[in-house]
Amino acid sequence: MNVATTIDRTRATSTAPTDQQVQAYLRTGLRNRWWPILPSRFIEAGAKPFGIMRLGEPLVIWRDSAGAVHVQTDRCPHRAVPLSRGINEGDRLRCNYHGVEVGPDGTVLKVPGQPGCPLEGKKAVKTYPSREIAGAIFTWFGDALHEDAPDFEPPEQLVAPEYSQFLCYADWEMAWRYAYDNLMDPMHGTFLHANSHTMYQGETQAHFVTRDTPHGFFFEKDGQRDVNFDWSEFVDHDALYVRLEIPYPKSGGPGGNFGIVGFATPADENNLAAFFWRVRKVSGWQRDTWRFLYKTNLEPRHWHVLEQDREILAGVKPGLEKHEMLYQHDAGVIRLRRYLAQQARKQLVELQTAGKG
Amino acid sequence: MSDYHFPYLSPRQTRTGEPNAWQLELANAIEAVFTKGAQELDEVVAGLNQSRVRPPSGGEWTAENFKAVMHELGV
Ligand code: FES
Ligand SMILES: [Fe+2]
Repeated sequence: MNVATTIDRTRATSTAPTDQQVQAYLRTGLRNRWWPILPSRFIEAGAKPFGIMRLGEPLVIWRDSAGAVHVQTDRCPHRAVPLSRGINEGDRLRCNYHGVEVGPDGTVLKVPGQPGCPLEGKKAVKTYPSREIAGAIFTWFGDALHEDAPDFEPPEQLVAPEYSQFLCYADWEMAWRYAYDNLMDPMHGTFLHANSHTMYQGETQAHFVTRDTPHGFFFEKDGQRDVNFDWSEFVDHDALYVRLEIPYPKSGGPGGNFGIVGFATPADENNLAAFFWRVRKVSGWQRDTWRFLYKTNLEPRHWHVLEQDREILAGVKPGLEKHEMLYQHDAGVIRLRRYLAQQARKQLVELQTAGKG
Repeated sequence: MSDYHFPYLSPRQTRTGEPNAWQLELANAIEAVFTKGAQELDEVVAGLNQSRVRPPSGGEWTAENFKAVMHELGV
């Protein structure tokens, strides 16, 4: 595309978001989606509230004495210090600065220093719709027009009884979108992961094709299946994730391919929280045996493969695109990027139209 | 807050304790049996009976004791 035309077009429609605005918006993630934010096991009932950034927003996570998890903005409604430095009282958080108490729906329950203060009874802390699925806390990040969460239909690999799964969590110091690019780039398996327990087989040359699905698309090798990391499926169904399969060597036993359902939740512009559910469609003694082998022998081998990805991508920051020269194997990446930009643009236009941009 | 430290890069996230020596030997023996091509339950049991690893109660591996052990260890 020629630069002069791009500039002209942006000038002509000055109210439409520019490519730069779209890219800037995407740096901390796409809104109006469910995102996994943390493994459930990190947050114990009644334990200290925990503060993290997700999608560039400061969050406090805590579990009440009944075991329910709550995700709220990590700011005290009084003087805006982090609530995560406060105390979990079992049914509420108490700020450690002046003792203001906030309930699980964000209502200020008590201002101990000044009883009857107008802050009491106010819903003053944003509370994020959240639920726990397959060992992780999922949270809805709606924009100003979509604060209420729609139902979440999780990927069947995480909830259907015919699947067995393990969650692998990691903090990666890189921009979130490059983790999705990496998942939509099956050809890297043949090279980056050639020295792995699973991905040493198959052709080193391939032609790729895309195939639409109701909620996304497949990007797959033409004429090679069940040999190496041969395909990826991008899904946008209440949440953004990628599914893929990699055949096991014989030592993995019966039960079919090893599957991954991957999410990369932006923490901020330069960090992400990686959620890789390792799944297998397997039952009975085969299921139990896979689980035993996974916990004893396979987990570190899978981890080693993931570290290869992390190490090659470590530290990549937004803006990488302007230095790239892409070829046919990158068609999945190109399509994914175009899709995310479209979605971001749509959200920006809606917000602008509603006067909330 | 349990064992979380940024950046969390833990290769072991799914087991609650260290496996003992027998469990490690058993896992290795099962992988070896699979590598030799066993797919069906009776083939796995036969393969394990040719290995040095005995079931917890001693004696022979059977379909029953193998399934029970896997069920206990694989949860
Ligand atoms: S800042 Fe939290 S109580 Fe004052
Ligand atoms: Fe990879």
